[in-house]
Amino acid sequence: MPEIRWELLTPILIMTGTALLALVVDLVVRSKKTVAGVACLGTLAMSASSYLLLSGLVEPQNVFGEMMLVSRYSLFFNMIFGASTLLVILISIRTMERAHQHQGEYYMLILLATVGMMLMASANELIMVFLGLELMSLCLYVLAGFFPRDLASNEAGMKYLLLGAFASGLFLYGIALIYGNVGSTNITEIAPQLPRIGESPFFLVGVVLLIVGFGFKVALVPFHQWAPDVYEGAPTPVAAFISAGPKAAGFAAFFRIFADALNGISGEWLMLVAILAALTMTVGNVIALVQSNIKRMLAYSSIAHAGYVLVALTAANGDGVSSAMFYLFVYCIMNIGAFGTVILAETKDSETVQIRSYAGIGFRRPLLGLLMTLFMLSLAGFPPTAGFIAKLNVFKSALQAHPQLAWLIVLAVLNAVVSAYYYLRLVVFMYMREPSEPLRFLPYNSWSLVAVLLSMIGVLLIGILPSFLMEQTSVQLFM
Amino acid sequence: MFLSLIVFLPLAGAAVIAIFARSHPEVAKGIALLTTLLTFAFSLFLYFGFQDTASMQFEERVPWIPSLGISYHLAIDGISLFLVLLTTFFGPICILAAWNSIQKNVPGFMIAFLFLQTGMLGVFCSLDMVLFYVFWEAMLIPMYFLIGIWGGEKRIYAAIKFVLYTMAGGALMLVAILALYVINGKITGNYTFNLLTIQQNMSQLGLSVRVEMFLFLAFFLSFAIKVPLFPFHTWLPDAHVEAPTVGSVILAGVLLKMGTYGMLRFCIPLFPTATFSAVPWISVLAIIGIIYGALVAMVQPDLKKLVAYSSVSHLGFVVLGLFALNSQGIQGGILQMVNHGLSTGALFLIVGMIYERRHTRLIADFGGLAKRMPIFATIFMIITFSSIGLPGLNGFVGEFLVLTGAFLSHKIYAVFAAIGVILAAVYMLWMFQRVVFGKLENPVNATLQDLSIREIALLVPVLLFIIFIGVYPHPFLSRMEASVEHLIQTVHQPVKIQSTVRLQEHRTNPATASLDGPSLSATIENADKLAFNE
Amino acid sequence: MTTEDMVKTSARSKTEDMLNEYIPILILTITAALFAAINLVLSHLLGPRKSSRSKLSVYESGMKPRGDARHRFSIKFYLIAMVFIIFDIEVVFLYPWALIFRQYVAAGPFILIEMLVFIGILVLGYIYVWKKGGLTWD
Repeated sequence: MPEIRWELLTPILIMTGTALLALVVDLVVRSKKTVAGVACLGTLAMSASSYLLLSGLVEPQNVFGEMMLVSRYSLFFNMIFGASTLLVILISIRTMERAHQHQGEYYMLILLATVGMMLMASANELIMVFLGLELMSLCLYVLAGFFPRDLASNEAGMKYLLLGAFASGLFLYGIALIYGNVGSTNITEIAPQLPRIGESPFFLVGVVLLIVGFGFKVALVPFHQWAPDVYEGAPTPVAAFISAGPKAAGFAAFFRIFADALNGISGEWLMLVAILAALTMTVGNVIALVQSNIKRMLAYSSIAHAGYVLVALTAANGDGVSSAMFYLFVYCIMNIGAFGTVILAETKDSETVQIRSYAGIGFRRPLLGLLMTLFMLSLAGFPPTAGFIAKLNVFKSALQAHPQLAWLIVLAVLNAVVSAYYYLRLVVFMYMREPSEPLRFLPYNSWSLVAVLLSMIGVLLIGILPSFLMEQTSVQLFM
Repeated sequence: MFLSLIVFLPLAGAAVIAIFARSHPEVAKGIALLTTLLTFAFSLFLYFGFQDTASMQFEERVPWIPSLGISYHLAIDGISLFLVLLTTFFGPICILAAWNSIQKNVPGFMIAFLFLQTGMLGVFCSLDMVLFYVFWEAMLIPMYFLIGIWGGEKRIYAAIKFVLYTMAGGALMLVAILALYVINGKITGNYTFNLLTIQQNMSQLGLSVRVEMFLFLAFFLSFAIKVPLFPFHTWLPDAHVEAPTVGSVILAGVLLKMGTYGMLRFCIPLFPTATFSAVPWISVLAIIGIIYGALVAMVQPDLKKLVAYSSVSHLGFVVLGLFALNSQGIQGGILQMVNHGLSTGALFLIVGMIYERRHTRLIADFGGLAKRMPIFATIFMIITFSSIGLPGLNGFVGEFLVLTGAFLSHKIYAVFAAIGVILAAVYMLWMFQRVVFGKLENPVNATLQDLSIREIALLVPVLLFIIFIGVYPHPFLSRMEASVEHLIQTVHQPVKIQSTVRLQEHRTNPATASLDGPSLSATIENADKLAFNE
Repeated sequence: MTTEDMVKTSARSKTEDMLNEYIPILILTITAALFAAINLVLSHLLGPRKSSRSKLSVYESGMKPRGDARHRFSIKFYLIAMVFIIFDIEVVFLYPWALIFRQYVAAGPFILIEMLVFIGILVLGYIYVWKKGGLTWD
């Protein structure tokens, strides 16, 4: 019988258990906040257990036969998912109360999607990656279209489902081709065979298909078209969720396969990834310049951020992987913070999604203005916020590994300048323009406020004292 | 801890205002004034505790992000000392200047201003490149708000232009910093962002001429945008005109010096070879700036625009002095930074004062103010003379040293720069004449009040320094002398060795010689000249 | 007997063995078929016959056998079908488990607990469907 090593699986077990518990609690209790509470506690417990394991773990450990590999890498990603899921649950409470339907299912879907992400990050099998990917994606399709009476939400769900299924197909085909060459779907078994099969055209086609599949999932240009529509149409907390955890999970598997298993043939894919990164950053930032809807703007901004993360992949070494982990953690926190602030800025009738509606908010709602400004500055990469340290770290590791890719770094920093324009445009509206018609904002919802304040503390703390988090991200590649 | 105290005291003041005085403008003003006064008082200890050596003093060094080799490293030498003092000196003056002129959201203004103080002081004190960059960029945010919220009509345009220009330069600098870090780490095995360590290692790194030139340009561009050197100056008139008085004062008085300071701290000592080859280009740009700024200033109908363009001209002098690369030029350049801060800062204060009274800045709207406002006219005159460089006032000492330095290195530069001095006299005196003398034709001006005690109180300290430096510059020059000499030595030493080596290389290998044509010949020329001088 | 013959006999006996293993299945099939046939015949013989219009129509899950293809179905059908498929497929997982059960149960009760957990999750789902009204038609 294969050894299972339950203790290493506690985070995943806790998360699965919490998802089931949320389902039961939803049946039993009347107040749906209890469900959210259960979900929060479970997520916290998962993050805590991941952290405990992380601080004790040195070597990567095989669990479930060789189906999964629990390592500092996967555990750190668990913490990214934990943090983003926790924040998303907190900012969801208000929206879900307002929607008044299927609240229990909502939290369960979020939790199950998180389980999927965790499987992706700790998978040691291409099939396992696929399983996690599908578990996550299926939950997300439902979540994106969660408001059946809202046409935009329906559209978002449908678009996401169609393109997502298409991407899954390509991904699966890629797995099949790789299996055909390697003779195994085990990720650790790919690297030793590379000298034999590295040049095989079918194998390379499989590799490219994997890139395309991941490209869809993490919204790289030119596979990004779904993202703006989905972010705009999906309920705001769901958009926050999709932009954070799943992207991190996609990158977790992406890096695991490319920076690690396929590292031996990095020469074959490096240029492709560098070009994708350049395209993704530039297109994302340039299109974001002209958006008038804040959710669409954040969608394009998150596309651009995927480009920055991809820059870390061009390093193709442990350093690059660490910097990407750090970046993704910071990105998740600040992006959810930004979406959370959008939720805080609700009026009696609806959420405030038009950028021009933010005119004058800075003085009439000082806290809101301050929070939004902080997240925008962090997204733009201004010091002393976490966004700056994250960018510095990524650029440093990429430049250190491949000085000949300096053009990519130059492009990346210039992109950061371009992005400053649209992030600061929101600040301009908040502080420097007078509102045409004053909006009547509701008082802050306390749960959303808690989440946003937590993100704010994270963004500042990591920006000023990043060492602690940086130590957690130090990984060795698994080979 | 002393430097940290000075750097972060304003930030602490900002925090106090944010927490306790968000809705009490008067209290906020009081706290801000108190904080800036305290900061200035502490910074005086720096001056008196400073030893006249080239070493870094008041040093503080704590690991910040050890895994990346980033440390929290503050220290000052004779070069940064005066810039720190200038910054803290302008703190209380700006708060007093803003006392009545800022009406909208006073606590917010004070918070932004104090934040800005911390950013600027941090820039002048940091010896870690990442820390430097952090302060450099962080300072943009409060300045952005100062212009964007409390500025004039086109304030949003000006604020965004200011931020994007500076950020674009800063972005290139970041790449250069990272590149230096990587190159230094790969060769010496010590991955660090420490400026001094990298500076020491530079000669071992064996940078090719091309790489050194790229790095030099990346740093130089970002500083040149900040200075601003012609042709990167277009953001400056917009920012100055749209900024509130205090914004203009701090922009002219301190912010622009961050650019010239950066050249002195990074470009020249890190990349001596590239510096030498770039001297002709930079000097020409500086001279174009001097003359162009003066000519454009001459025809401005708006007082503030006139002063803004005069800044372009004056900073041309500073850059010219710094890149003369001899002790007269560099000392003159540093002193001229301080002088320009004092005189142009004071000019903006003056302009702000009559703007508050008349709500116009057009020269044509004034005339004959001397009769109604004698104190104002007197002070205005002294500052005007200081800006022109009248002997006995501070501007003279600085410009004289700069011109001497330029003359020693390339006579022709000094000749052209001297034209700028004459032009400065033309536009400043003409402006002064039109505003202060003549008949009081506009009846509105007849009701103008002379300066209040508050206004006099904030101008008098500036005047004192203007006269003091003009009469007795020794205490200033002696403090910076050792550091400047040290800088010049570090610049000239490796260049001589390297360029002779390269000379031989290129003689044997004409193919590469043709590749980096003009820069190389300049290097050789300089090396020959140095040998000749000794 | 030559070696060739020996191989042939053993091969034949192997095939025979394999076929022999299927005899119970054959018996089961025949019994089942007989059971069905007997019941049908008995009910045909013994049951009273009252035919009506709808009883005489072709049986199509309660649907009209002819008409427009773009016909609106009650969504309840899909719900029931989905619930059926979910539980049906999950039961499939019981088979491989049953196959290795004897082999692993010797090592401890773990394999039993594992299946109990699995069934527990299924039961949870069942309760959920029930409570949410997935099993009631209206």
